[in-house]
Amino acid sequence: MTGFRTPNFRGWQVVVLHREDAGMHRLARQLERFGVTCHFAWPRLESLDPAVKAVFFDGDSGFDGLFPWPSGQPPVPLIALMRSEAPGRLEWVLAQGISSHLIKPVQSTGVYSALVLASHSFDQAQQQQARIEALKTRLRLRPEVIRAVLTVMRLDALDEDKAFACIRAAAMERRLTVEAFCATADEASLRALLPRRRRGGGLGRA
Amino acid sequence: MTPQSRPDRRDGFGAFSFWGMALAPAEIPLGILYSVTGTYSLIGRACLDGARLGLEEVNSDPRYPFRFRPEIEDPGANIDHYLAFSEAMLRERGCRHIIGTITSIGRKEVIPVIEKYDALLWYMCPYEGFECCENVIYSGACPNQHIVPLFRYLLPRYGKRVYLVGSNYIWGWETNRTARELVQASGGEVVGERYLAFSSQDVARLIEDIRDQRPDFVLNNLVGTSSYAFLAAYHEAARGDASFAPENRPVVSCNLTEAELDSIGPAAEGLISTAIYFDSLDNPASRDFRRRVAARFGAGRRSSVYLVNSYIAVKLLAEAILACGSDEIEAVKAALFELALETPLGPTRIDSGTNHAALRPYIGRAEADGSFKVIEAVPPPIAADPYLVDFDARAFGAEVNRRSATQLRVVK
Repeated sequence: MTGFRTPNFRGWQVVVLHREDAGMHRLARQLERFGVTCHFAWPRLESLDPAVKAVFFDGDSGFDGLFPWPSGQPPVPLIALMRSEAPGRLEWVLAQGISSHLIKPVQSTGVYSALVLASHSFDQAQQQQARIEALKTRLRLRPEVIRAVLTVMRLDALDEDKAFACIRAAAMERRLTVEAFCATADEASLRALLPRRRRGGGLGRA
Repeated sequence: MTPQSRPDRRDGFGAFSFWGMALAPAEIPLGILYSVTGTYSLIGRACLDGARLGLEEVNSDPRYPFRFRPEIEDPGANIDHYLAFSEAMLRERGCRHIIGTITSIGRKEVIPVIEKYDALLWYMCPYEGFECCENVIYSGACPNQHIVPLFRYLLPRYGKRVYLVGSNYIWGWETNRTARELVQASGGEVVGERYLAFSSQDVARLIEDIRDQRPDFVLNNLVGTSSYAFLAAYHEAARGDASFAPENRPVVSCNLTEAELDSIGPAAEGLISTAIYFDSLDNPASRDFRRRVAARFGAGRRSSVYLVNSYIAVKLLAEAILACGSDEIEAVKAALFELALETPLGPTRIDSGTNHAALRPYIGRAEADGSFKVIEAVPPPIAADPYLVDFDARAFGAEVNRRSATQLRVVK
């Protein structure tokens, strides 16, 4: 078992996008106990201060245009405050890209786990998104790899496994992905990878 | 608005106010919910006795223009009974305050009922933290007041290879998780971690695993009969294997107190425990409390943090009611947060931000006669930090390692 580090929100600032009422004051009070400062806003958040680490919002009365960012692309974890469980409301809340939710009326139990789950799933989603972007780029560059492998095979009559191994070694040496290396490599630079005696192409094989 | 002019919400039940009622002392029902039977009955009895002592003192003290009427129930450590008993206290018997529960599963079972009736639970046992309910007053130690000071003491002196055992529920799991974080922050290693089912006495494999892993010390978060069986087997193992001797590889604990030592007998000798009160403390407040306990329960009765803290909970409640003139919970809480009551722990304060008590942790070593010898005391009371907001694992590790250089004992 590895150690799960105690989540710590000391010094965090969050926005609560909800009418201020007794329930929201309970929420703010509970957040204070984790070292979190609350800023209230309603009915619209004009801009998001870069210091804000999470946004709680009213899932019951929220509407399109509530947030100052493109729909469904929150830059910080979003936590929905919900009383209604009507599918239409849930659909709207899901479309905002929430990371967790909290049932109203807010009690002292639940706020901590909502914040822990939201920050964890937001980070995980960000990492996954970054990984997907990287994989998409590599996928887009696959034809470049094929071109490079074919070039090396032609230059040195290697089979495809050996040609690929030669390219991968060169990419690793340059700390690039195989795809990124192939995208920039022309025939001359691929030729430079081959042993000196083979570079002429006319010297024959050992 | 005075309490008198407030509409009576429950036909007289619990809606007590004594302003203008000088003729007869008012009676305030007070729920007391402790398991005095079942696997951890020794703790339950200490809690109940402490609450009784506090209640008797209040009821015989003319300073208080009211009397508590105890409504006592024994859930018998059976989780199925907590909800029904607490609901009966609040709904049928007019209680607005319940002193009780020992385990966290018990407390978490009662909290929804307490919230539903907007009552107040007075919880006074050490627990694993990460909770802060508006309807609970927490006067027992939370992690920054028990496991953190205990490990700050132990890691530099005994070493950083630690074995964790516990009963299979939230107290053991979470206290051991915090312990693991402390050990890892210090560059140490958790060499084993095992759990037993509630009441299980199947400890032989635990002992064998400890023999194989040879940790520097063992953190025991078992409760009740499991804990007693483990300590007996550990003591037995020391007969043939000196590595099990307490001076070489102590068993340590955050919740083992005098309430249980007498029943464990010689097997407990050398055990190191942390508590916010030991019966052996020598100061005017503790001497005075020992006299009261002896007068009520006999000269041989040793008190413990459980007994003293449930006693204090009753006194705090009585004092808060006296100050605000009502048993209505918002008024009681507001009055409570203003109090600095002199108790056997010294001046006792409950923090309005967390509903938790500031406490002074001690570390004690169990002696052959069933008492604890205090071996370390943290001078000023520590404010409760139930979510470990102000805890810095890296600074803790650095401090442990700085102190390790000077304090590590010679390993035999």
